[in-house]
Amino acid sequence: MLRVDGLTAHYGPVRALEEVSLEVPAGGIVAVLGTNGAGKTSLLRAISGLLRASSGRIMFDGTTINQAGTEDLVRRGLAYVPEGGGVIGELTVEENLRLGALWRRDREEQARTREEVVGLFPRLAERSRMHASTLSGGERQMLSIGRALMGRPRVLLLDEPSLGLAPIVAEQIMRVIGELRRDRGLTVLLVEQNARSALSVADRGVVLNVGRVVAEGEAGELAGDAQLRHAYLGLA
Amino acid sequence: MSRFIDLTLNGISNGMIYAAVALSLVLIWRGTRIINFAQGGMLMITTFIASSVIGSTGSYWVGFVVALLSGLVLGAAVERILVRGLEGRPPLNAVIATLGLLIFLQAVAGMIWGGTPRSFPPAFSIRGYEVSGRHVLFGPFDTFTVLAVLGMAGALALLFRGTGLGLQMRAAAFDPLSARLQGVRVTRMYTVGWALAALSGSLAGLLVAPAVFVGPNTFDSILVFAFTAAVLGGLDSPVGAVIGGLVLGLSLSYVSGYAGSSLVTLAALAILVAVLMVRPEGLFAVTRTRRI
Repeated sequence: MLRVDGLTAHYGPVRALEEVSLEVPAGGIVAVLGTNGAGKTSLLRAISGLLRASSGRIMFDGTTINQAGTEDLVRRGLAYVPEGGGVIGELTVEENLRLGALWRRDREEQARTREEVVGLFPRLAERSRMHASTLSGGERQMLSIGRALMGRPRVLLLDEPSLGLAPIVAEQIMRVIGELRRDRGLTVLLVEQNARSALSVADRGVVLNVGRVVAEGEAGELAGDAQLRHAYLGLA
Repeated sequence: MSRFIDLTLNGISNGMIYAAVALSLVLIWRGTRIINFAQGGMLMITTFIASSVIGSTGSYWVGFVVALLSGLVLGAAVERILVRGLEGRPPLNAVIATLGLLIFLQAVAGMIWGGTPRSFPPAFSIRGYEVSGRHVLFGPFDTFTVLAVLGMAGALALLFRGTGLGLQMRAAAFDPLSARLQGVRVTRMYTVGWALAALSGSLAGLLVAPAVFVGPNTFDSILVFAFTAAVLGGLDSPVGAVIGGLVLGLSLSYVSGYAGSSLVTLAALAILVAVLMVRPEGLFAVTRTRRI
């Protein structure tokens, strides 16, 4: 569903990604792990069209998307939830949700999707008329994921969804991600610093360090690799 | 007392015109963080177009509609051609570019229509209503002015609050990156924003032209008044722009009536400086809480 081949990307003169390759099969969850500055966010920005690749190829659903615009990719079913969620604080919760589905035009579809999303995160219905700036960190993350789902994406790129959240909230978010894959075959590329939490839901993991892939494998394998855990994942 | 009432009525009518121009400045500031110094020039062009159309068709209303439509087109064109290239550049570039556009538009107007101001007809009689045997300083055209500006402000509010397009425009203004990630075509929203702003400006041009005439430079002072009104209202708030326009219109009308009309521009600048010193966020600013 999503494939990255030999991707290299720069911020000005600084190389952020070097020859990164990975594949996320349809309905799969792949976790991208690594410390701060490893290039995890750059990878998601490159896939979603916010950072242009210097070389390499990004394929989505069988077509190359290196040159595609972010807005168009969203409309084609590739949703990106940036770190912190990108919730628009000046708008209400309801407006944020509506925004995620506006390009779809079909009013009935929009209403149906909204019911589903609110079913996943009942909290959002309770807060629907409040400004998003008043939400707690967990509620913001729910809103940003819910908003992304309003567009009925096929692939979801998630950047640090559990960052700064209480463990119990982070766990809830991970559980929802697992459910989304199980119930509607959503494909997920999940960036996390919290390796334990990410590997609990992912099938496979890729470890980045200074812009390069240094390890990859089954989630269980990676979680059990003592050396890797010590060197890159910050786990004891 | 009757003088006070006259000045108040006159202030309301003028204030609505300032409000319409202030609204156009606010819409652009909110969307693209640019103060459009060319706004006076843009509404001058559309009013000249109205003048020509009225002259050749003989119908005020055809000219009126053509002016509003050409405002939409001009606003969109300025955004596409000039403003888009300024994105991500230092703010000073935008200041110079819009000032340059103002000079350009004034030169073009002078070449096409000449430098001598010409008269412009009002939509309705400017003769004041007769109240208990006396003509007050407020007539049918003033009524039209107030209703037209309030109607347009109301329509814009409805667009922003009640439609998907408005929601996308607000999202693009508040947080362009997040808006793009929701599939909003942000650059298109900017174009629409500039078009609507110029529409508001061209309405103001039609309303003020009977009083100031139409010439390349006759609308210069209205930009100063509108800017003051916009700052008064917080520069970010469309509602503030309308209230700011009204407050400024009343203030200047009293100054003109009680202290002399030569002090009007000075008073406007004094108000501007006072607001910037005492309450730079504007009298009606909504304090924005923004967590990142």
